[in-house]
Amino acid sequence: MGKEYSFHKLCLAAIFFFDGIALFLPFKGAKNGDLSALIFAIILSVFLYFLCYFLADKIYKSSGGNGVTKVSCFLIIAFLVFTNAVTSKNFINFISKEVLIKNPKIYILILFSAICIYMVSKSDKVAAKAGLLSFVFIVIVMTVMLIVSCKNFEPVSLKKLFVGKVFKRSFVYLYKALLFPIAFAIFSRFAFYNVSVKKDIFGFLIGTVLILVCYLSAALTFTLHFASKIDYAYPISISVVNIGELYTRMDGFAYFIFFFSALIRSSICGFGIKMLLKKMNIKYPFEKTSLLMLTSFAVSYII
Amino acid sequence: MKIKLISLLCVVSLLMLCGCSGYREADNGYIVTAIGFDGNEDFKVSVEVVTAGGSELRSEPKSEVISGKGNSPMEAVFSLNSKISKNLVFDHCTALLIGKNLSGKKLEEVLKYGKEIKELNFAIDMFMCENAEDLLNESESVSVARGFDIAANLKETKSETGIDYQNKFYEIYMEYNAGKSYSFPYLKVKNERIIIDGESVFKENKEKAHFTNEEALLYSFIKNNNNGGKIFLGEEFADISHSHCSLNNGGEYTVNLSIKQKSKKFSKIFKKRVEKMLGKHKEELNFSSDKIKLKERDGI
Amino acid sequence: MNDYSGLLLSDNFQKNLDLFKEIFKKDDMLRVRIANLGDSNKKLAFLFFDGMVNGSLVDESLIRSCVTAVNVPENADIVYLSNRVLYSAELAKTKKVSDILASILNGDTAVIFENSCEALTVNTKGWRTRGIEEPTDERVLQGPREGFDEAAILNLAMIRRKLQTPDLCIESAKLGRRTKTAIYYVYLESLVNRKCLREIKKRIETIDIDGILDSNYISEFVRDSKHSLFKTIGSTERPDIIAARLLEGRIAIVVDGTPVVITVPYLFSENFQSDEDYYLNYMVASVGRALRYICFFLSISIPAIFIALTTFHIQLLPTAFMLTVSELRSGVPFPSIIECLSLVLIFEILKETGLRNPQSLGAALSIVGGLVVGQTAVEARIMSAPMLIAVSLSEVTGLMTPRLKGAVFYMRILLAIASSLMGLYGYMIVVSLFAVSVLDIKSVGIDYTSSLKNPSFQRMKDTFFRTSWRSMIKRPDFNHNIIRNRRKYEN
Repeated sequence: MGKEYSFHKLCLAAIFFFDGIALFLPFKGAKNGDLSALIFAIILSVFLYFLCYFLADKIYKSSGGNGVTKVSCFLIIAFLVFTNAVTSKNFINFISKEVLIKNPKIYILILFSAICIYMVSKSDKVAAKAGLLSFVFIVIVMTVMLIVSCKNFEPVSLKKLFVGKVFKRSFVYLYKALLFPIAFAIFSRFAFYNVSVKKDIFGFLIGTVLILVCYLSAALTFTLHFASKIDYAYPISISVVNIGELYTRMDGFAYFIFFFSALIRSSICGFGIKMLLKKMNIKYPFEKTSLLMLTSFAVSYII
Repeated sequence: MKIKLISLLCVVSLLMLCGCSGYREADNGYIVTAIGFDGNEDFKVSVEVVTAGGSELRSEPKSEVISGKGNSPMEAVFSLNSKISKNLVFDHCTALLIGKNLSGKKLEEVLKYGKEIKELNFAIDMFMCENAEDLLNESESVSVARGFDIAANLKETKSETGIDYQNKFYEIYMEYNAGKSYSFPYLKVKNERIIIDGESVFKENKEKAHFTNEEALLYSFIKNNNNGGKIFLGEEFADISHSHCSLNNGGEYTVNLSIKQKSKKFSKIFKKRVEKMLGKHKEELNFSSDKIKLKERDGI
Repeated sequence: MNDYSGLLLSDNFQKNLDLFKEIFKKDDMLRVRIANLGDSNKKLAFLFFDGMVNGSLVDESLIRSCVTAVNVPENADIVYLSNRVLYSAELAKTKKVSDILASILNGDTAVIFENSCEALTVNTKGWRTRGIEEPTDERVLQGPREGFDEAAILNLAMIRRKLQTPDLCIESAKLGRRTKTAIYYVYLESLVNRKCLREIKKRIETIDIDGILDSNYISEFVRDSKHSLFKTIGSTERPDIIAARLLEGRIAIVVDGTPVVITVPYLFSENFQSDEDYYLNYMVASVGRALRYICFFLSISIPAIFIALTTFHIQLLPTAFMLTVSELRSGVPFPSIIECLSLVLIFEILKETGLRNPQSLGAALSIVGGLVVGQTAVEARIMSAPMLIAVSLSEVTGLMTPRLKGAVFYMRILLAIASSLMGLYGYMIVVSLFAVSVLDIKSVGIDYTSSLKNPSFQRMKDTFFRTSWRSMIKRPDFNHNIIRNRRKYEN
């Protein structure tokens, strides 16, 4: 895709970055200095992304028949399958615990996998445009929710959020959620070959802002200690917001936010797999991508 | 093309199979508007439910109170369900009442039950009363249900007196979790109507203090960093323009109150009033009355 | 069926006449008038169809001019006839029988000359047309009120009146084995996307059908996504709209026999444009435009979200509303989804009967619809009032986007079913499904959602809102390599 899709790349980067972690903020066991740890982990992951982008660039420029390229591609495909499994597991757990409590998880998973595979069957321009629309929706909703939830914020000491054991805690964040930049690096390099990597960085910055909005909404509504004990603190912090008497329980919007971001993230993994298979000149790349994605969804159900 | 059609067919037929659970019509349940927990030895839960009118087109909804018993809150609610034909719908419950005889571990269990059950809103208002079942049975509802009356009463009291109760479930749970004191507005029945009569302050799941409405206002100012309001000092009202409360490293609160009275006499009366209130509950509330500073600003 | 291609006229006058009489032996509308050319002995035959020709034109310009010709030379031939005798603005010479047949079947008159293997076909078209009327489906409060009619020639004239430039190109073709319907490709040479033009011509040339009676026949053959709910080929009955679309670099296809002219490529944002948007003040037009987007979303979503919230996610509804719904729904025997689908069906039936029946029945229908559905069904507790309100609101908002009528109907039903099965999650899944399929659609190779390709204020100026004509400096950029600037020519 050419330069006209540069803004789309930014949107996709933001959503990809945001989805990995926002659902669980703040992580369990959060203590003083947790926010600094999160920011530190984000900075580390951006550095990691540069390395992954460099690797993706090498693969993009090399010929598909090269042995080293093939081995790298297979390893990356395995990692993408794992990333997809983790993404879908997180999302399906959220839906089955918060949205459709009495429905069997398997049906939720089947529908999600069907829509992901359908998206991957289309061209990457479709993903780019879907990312743009989702990004606009997510930003508008999160901004409005932040503004209306301000009155619910508890006066906490911001110093406590920043000062504490940062280094050790940051690896928890890095390990659990931010360690998947390779998936986006592949998609970014292969699909947006004419767009510079600067857009990725801007996208990650915006994703960071969204992550911080989630974190602060949850931590300031419930205090850090309590928020870290609740599953899915951000949607619940939205559910306690009200505008007058009529607009209460607006956590429906959070369902949409996480659905769109999970769908985009899963699709990016799928597209990454498809592009690597095409790079290796493997026949029927879409059919094989679908099989691999189904495998990853099955893995997500089991783990 | 064939594969696409077959996979579409599979998804559609799966779609037809799923979704049957979790579906319920709006009129297929009893809507719970208030829930109360009592009990000395075991748990007694009382719920006020609203039932839809029935076969007539414009009949009024009716409310009734049902009770159940059990060894735990979950068991008590389960025994309730067995008494009625439809499911209980807790999603619109507006008041959670705690009976005075419920304390210690039992109160802790109720708080945990409130956190675990997904259907109860985290922002539900919690109240204290002598006996939840008696309160619900003895009072008459002005609107559709007593739960709504209680919520309306709370709102009215907040706007009239300026007390910020901080009695939402998640607020109370946060304080309980952090080992701090938490408070519930106290409900009682007067002339068959439910009114708010003061505030009960709890710490470590035991009642430590009971404030009158006036003391509750003061407590609210000190605890919640209010912007201001009026306090009746026996002769006239004291205008408090700003209150601020901060916690130092030693775990003690320092209270700063700015009052708009011209006369120093009122400041003294006020300081004494605050000292008396805080002195009564010094240890439990962790307030140090020595640290009260009053700033006077004339003619504002 | 013999189309007589390859067959030529002979020198024998009688033989030629007999040939045409044989071809149309079962058609009593053919008229054959034999006359002499002036005072000579040379015979002429005029062949035409009664009702297809302008009778006075045939009488005065052809028959009279031939019969009253003077000083006819001995060697007078068809050339002499065409140059010196006949009064006609348009005539052609041909040897082919198929050409003569095509001409007389189209309302021309064929003139067969003795001892000549050539004939003349003279334009004497006089079939009746409806005349210029305002299209019933595309009414405007302000702006031109002309509409096309069934004669392609007249329609082309109306377009040419709007675009008086030599840049306007009109290429003709014939479609339909039996109908031989004339179609015309209309475009502006300097603005058209040539790739698009080649593609559409290629697709139309591959159409193999016995008859083309309307432009929709062509639309269904050439559209990109054959099973998509959304139309990818535009249509209109207004010449001003066609002119506007041609000025944006689109291609119009005028089909003889129908007032509906189709245009390609067609973008998603055009579904939300009204003919009047460009004739009203831009602020008023922008409100209408924004309302249409909102109404489209509401019309497909209201029943689905209502079902999802009242059956799966009761906690998301305000308590007072929840009690009202619960109270009004009590006693209704059917599940919400059945109520919803029945109401949608009833409304569609009412709409269709309202369209197809005479206006005199309209009042009776509205009483039946309002009383039976609105009041009686609710009082009898067959339907609940909230569901009736939700579906009615959805139907009314759906009327704001008439171009998406079909798509809205299907989407509304599918979303309602999905919501009844899996609540908001089902709704999200199906919405994503529709979104992905819309984003993938192309219209003759051009992205259906090309305004999302490179989002910028310039490109949004005519989508969700309309800016004033002062600031609409550039044409939409879905057509590549054309002159973008509306104001002056770029080098």
